[in-house]
Amino acid sequence: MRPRRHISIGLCICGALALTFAAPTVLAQAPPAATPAPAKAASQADVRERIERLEKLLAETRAELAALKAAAAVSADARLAEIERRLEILAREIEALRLGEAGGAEPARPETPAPAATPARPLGLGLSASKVYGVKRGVSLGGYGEALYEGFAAEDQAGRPASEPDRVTLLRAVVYLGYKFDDRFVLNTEVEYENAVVASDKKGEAEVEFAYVDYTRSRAVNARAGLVLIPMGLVNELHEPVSFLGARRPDVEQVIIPTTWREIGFGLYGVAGPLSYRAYLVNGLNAAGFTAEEGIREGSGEGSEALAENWAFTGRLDYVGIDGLLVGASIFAGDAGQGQRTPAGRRIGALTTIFDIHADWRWRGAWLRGLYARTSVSQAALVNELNGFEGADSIGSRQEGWYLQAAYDVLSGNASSRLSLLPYVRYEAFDTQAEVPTGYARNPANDVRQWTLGLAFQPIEALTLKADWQRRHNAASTGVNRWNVALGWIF
Amino acid sequence: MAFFAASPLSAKVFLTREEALKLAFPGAAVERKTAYLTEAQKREAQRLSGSEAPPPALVTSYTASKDGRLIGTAYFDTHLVRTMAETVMVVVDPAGAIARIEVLSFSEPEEYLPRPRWYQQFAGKPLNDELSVKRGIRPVTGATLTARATTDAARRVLAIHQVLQKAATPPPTPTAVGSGSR
Repeated sequence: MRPRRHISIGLCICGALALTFAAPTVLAQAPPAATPAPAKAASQADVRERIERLEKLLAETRAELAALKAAAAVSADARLAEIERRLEILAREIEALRLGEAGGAEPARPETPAPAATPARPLGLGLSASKVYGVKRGVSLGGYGEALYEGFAAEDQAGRPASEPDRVTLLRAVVYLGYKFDDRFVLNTEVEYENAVVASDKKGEAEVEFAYVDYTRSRAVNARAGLVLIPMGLVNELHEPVSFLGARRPDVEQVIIPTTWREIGFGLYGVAGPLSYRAYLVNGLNAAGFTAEEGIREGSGEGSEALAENWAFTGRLDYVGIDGLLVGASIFAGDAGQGQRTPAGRRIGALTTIFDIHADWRWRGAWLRGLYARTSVSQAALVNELNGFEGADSIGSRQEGWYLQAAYDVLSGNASSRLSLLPYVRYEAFDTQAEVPTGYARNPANDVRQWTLGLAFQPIEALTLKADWQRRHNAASTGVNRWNVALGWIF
Repeated sequence: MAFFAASPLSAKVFLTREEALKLAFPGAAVERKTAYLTEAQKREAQRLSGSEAPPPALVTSYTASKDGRLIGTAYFDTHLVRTMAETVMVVVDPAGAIARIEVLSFSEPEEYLPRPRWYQQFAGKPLNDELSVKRGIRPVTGATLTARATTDAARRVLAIHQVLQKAATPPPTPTAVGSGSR
């Protein structure tokens, strides 16, 4: 349409110009004197008439041209306006798509809790472990893994030859499988392979580390039941490799608090003001699993045909009122006798109480952590009788440990970088036989002091490469230093 | 604004756009504007924000004025936190610093949503190196990714705002010859 219109306007202009220039030419071409007078007069009248006619035609053409020009302008304006209108519609549509439900005209559901009282870490779960809470409905899949190299020094702390061989292992490969039934009921599970292969000639294990159902009601009160993580310390619940420093977990949180510690039970969790809490009733420990070196570690029921003659209370309380800071305490208390008797027939109570205080503080590039944990086992002598322990093989009636850890992200100066490079240092002291019952002895090898110096590199939040050196000394002077390198991931 | 793919289809919605604007600019006249960034402007905004990806070319802003005086400009930014989206409103004051940040919707578990007080620390912060969870913005225990994503959004909005302001302010014209109208 448009080119044709241009052509027609052009033709009009050409026509008008042609007429304008043609008129004088016609006049000029009129024969001058040779024409007779009447004929001359008639001819002049004719010429005037023609001029008038041409002038009229010119005026008409000009008017028509102006009208055409105006029409074209109006049409262009209209088309521009239409394009702008359409662009605006597209812009609004794109904005609405970006904003999603928040872009709707309807007000946000009045019953939707304002973020004002949003819980801080009430779930007690790592990043990937809590994935199912984020889905609308149905299945969620997540996981994490760790590969570990351990290289041991050739000599112990006293300079005697040490024979610990270097090792590599896929320490953990974990799948989180969750199912959100509706807005209230959530199933969350963690299935773990340790050391890659489960077979009679290998050390691997396959375990369900947690499997529980949550009833989420409000920020303050929610219920949980199933195989749950014991809410103690800093690592037990948040044990994904990007959540703690060290190629290996701190020993205090393996020996005194036996991560990854889980039992079957039920309880409540939530947040009230600046306080976050969890309180569960779970099956008690089994004193038959207690040892001198590993403390209560092997006393855990792990949800595998665990004895449930005794139950225990476990809970934690954290202050989360200041951003970047978490300070709290946790406890586990209950009999570990599980109805068992000593060879002499004495029924064992073995009230076992573990408590810890902990703090985690992040500020600018700095990250500080500290934890103190202490276990006491009553009737430890009876437990020794039950387990056939004598002398320095006694279980500790008191077991305790603590650590302090400091790290600084040296790349924190680059505001926009996602990279993290954290040199870290940790000092640990622990003793699984801090006290033993009368008539038994302590093994000084269980009294450990350990320095860890390392470097953690995170190219993105979900990946970590950690390398450290550990200087391990014990009171028996048999400590062996080691190098550790770990690759960890979550998804 | 950042990731189109992060469209929050199943978000927990705390505020709608209209509610957020009313909250930020009570009783003010709010004008919606659409800007289309040029490639150069996108590059400039990316440089200013220090982000890995350029900002979107299509930018919607809400300019609020009261008694004929500009009181602030609001931008909405939708971005990924971990695998799910968050939409925030970032209000920029007339001086070009952050006035406030409000969360409109959040699709990750609420556990990773910082408390409102955490967002208050952004007020008055201009676009500089301190605007980072590694520096002047306190992190959130257990919600590091949200803290980072929100801070990135704040940087992105401030950068876009600067670029748009620069485009809106004509370069100082010398009182000279040659500035005639066409």
